[in-house]
Amino acid sequence: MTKRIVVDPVTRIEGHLRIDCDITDGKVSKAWSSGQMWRGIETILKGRDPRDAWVFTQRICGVCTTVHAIASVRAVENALDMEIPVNAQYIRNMVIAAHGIHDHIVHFYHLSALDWVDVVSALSADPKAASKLAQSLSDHPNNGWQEYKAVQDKLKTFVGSGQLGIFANGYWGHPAMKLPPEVNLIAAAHYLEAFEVQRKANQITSILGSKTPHIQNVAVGGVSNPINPDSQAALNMERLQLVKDLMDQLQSFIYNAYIVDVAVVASFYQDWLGYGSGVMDYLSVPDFPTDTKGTQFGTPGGYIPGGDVSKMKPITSFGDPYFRDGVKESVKHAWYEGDSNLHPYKGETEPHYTDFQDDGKYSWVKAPTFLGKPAQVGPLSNVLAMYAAGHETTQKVAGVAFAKIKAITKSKSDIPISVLHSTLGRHAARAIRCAVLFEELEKNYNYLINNIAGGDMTTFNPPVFPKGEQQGFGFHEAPRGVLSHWIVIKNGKIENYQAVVPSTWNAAPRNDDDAIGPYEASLMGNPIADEKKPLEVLRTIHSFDPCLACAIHLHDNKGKDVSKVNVL
Amino acid sequence: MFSSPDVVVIGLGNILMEDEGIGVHAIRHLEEKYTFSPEIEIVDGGTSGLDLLPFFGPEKSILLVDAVNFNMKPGTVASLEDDAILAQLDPKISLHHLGLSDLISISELTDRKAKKMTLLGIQPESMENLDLEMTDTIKGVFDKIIQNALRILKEWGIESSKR
Repeated sequence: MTKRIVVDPVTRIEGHLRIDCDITDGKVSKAWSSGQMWRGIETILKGRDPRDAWVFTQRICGVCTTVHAIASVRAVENALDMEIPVNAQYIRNMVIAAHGIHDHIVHFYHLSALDWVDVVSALSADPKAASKLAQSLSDHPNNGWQEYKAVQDKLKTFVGSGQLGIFANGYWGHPAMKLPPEVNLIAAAHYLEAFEVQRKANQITSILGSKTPHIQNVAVGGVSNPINPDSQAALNMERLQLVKDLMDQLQSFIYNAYIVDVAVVASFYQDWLGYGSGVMDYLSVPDFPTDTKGTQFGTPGGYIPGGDVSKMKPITSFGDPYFRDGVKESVKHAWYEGDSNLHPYKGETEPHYTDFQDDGKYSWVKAPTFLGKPAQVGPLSNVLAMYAAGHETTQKVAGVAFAKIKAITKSKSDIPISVLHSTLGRHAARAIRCAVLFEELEKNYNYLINNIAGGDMTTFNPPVFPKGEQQGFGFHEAPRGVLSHWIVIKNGKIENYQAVVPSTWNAAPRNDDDAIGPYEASLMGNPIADEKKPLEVLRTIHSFDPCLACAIHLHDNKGKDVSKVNVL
Repeated sequence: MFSSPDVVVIGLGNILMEDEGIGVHAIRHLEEKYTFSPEIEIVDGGTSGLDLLPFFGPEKSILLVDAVNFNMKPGTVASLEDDAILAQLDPKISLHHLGLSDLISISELTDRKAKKMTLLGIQPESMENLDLEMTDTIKGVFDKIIQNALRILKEWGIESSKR
């Protein structure tokens, strides 16, 4: 017997997503992913100065501000065939790394952990046993039993005062929750600590980007930060030292808490290393450029067909035609006019809403394809590509994480990399990538300091707009995966603009060939223990870190009681 | 450079979506047209959530300016104070993202609850369309919003003068 369940909206994500599943014999047999918001930023950019585009694209989403600024300036620079000073690359790279670290940590602890961690169960843990367990797992400094006791007391007060708001929709007590109370307490302690850690990562972005949440320092042609080691108004030694201090405070948490916690969760939920693979054609792009043209990168990227890392084809430069010519977007199943399947330079964004049609149009998200097929993007795709390319840190950190899982589960054989093709594999890959980002942050800091010491203070090359038409694209390996912006410039003005965002790839509806998208594919075969509480659907969808462009955030006055509202 | 003022004004909203952007438009106006004594911190919060946590703290007085659905006539300007903000707002964690109410909860959980907090809310007319301009209704009450923001700041001991 087949039954339809609808999860609308999917909670604890950025944006508004609806998931429909057909359940047959307790397992998902068919799935539909539907983006419930129209994102038409492109229309607002036509006719504007390309140098200003990043200011607007930064407002597409409240979470992914930085990444849309970066992709936008890279697109214009590509159209103008520009080179940008290495100092500007290093500064942008540090902003990208700090933002990514912040984003990955928030995603695991604050948006996903409650799928696996039962906060209420943590209240009954023995703090001494939790401390002993934590100390056996890592050298993280805050592992004393007094610290765990303090966290437990705080949670008791908080839950006791009826403020379950931020933990709401956590399915505590669900039969699919498997962590012992002590592990739940350790995770809850790190949940709290992660708020401070993400704040420090954010502060780095804020020092280098001049402001957060919207950075102010990028420009087509470089960055607008003047470097002057002796000036109060510029990027000086005092500010750089502060960046260094903050950086040093991130390391222990990433290695001794984040990576370990993910390994612990994976050990207690080994089943979930077997579900949720879905589309196994993986796409990622190289990032952290270290030369002026964007041909040398700190982190590799490429296309892996069929999950076979030995077949990885690398993407090697900002202008790589392999990437440029490989991307298309279909609107056959999306709420736009017609059924076109176009390259982004030719992309159209004319809305055409119908009802939710199982076999027709059912989403505001277009269906992008690479070489004509759906592709999965995100940290997993990136980690697999880096692993395939022999990237040292990736291989080392993956080894550490797998060894932890092996030790905790007392497994006799080594954990194979193939476990990454799964729901929890995506979380593991994100943690591994977080360590890689930390290394890039450190590396680029050192490159910048050395380059300044060598006397190079250049941060900007002014762009020149020739008459006629140019087109260009900019890509960025953002926290949620491949982000690309595509621009057509005519006589110095924007003629067309399209953003193909990571969640578009993953949340894609069926495409031109009716092939299902990555979210949809990843749900196939997932068990559903309780149709009324489809925690399993949330686990798999959350593992992608969905972000559907929360352009609107209006606050609702929930009660009818308006007595406390002072009308002015 | 990192000792920051204790009074913080945060404008929230998306300037790409008509009246959604009212909070940001209002704080930009304050920043461009006025000077404040003692100095205050003015933050363009956009549609972010957790990114705003650093601006919270037990020594802070925070004025938030934002579009709020009070289920009242478009253009209604109203305020909510302290615990009433959390009590009245829908927890947005279930919808768009870690919203304002989540941020306030988290500030309590992480010992960063602000000493004083006022939400200056405006009932929007339209936020359906991609348009940088606000509706005429909201433009019509824009000065009222600014004057109320200045009045609240004055109650907190902040003098303002036109540039």
